[in-house]
Amino acid sequence: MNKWLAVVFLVLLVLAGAMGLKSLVTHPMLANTTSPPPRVAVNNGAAPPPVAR
Amino acid sequence: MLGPLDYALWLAGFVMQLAVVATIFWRHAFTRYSLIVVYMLCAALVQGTQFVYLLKYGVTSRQYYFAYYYLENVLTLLLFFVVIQLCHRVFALIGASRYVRVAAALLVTGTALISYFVIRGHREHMTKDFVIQFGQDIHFVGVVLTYLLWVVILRLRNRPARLTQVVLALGIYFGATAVVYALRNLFPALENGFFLYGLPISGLWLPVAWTYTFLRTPDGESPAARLTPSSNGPA
Repeated sequence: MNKWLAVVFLVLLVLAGAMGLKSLVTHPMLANTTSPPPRVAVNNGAAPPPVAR
Repeated sequence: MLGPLDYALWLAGFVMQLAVVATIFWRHAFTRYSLIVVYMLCAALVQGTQFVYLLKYGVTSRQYYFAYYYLENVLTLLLFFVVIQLCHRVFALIGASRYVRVAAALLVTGTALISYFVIRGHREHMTKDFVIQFGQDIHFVGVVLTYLLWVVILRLRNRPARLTQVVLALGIYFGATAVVYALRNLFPALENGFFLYGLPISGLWLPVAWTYTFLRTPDGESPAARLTPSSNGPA
């Protein structure tokens, strides 16, 4: 019986660890880091005229 | 509104907690597992208190919510002291020095104290996010501690069957509860469905498994099991 308990225990250990990592990665404190500003467009010329439809 | 299944789970948990206490006394194992008795009596008391809050204020009330999560978390910390007692027994069996036993006890006590101050600091604003995240973290710490304990037990040549089963059952409880909290954390939309029964079922596992262990599994802590780590001889 102890073998089966050990197997279940190890499975739960791995599951709990994996889910803990997953929730850590998606935690707002880590997920909401400020993203770098967009790169300045190389072509800073005037926007193209609207396409006549 | 609670249904018959909710009441059945509550009643089964309460009865099984008292059954653990009864079987420990019946098997004359109180001196070895005294903190399990204390924990189970406190768990039964907590469950009774939660039921009173449920009847008085209702399942959706703030009072019941606070009583449920605050008492559950404090009870989990109490379970850490059961881990300390199990650590003490296991380290005594492998003949570890007194310093190792004290260090293990300090590690678990420190974890419990830090966790207690975290709960205490949040008791005025126990938000849903906090209780779910804290429940997941504290039970995961429990899984890791139990795993370390089990690894030490594996070093024994003659592993005491009852102690091994008690530790594995505790590890499964910590693991299953951590997974339930993690699922609630990852899939909040499913919280009121299947996961609603996750905590009561994982909570029921521990007294059922321990009652079975004390009722059916022999102690197995013979004098030969002491001071015989497997590294000193063939496994």
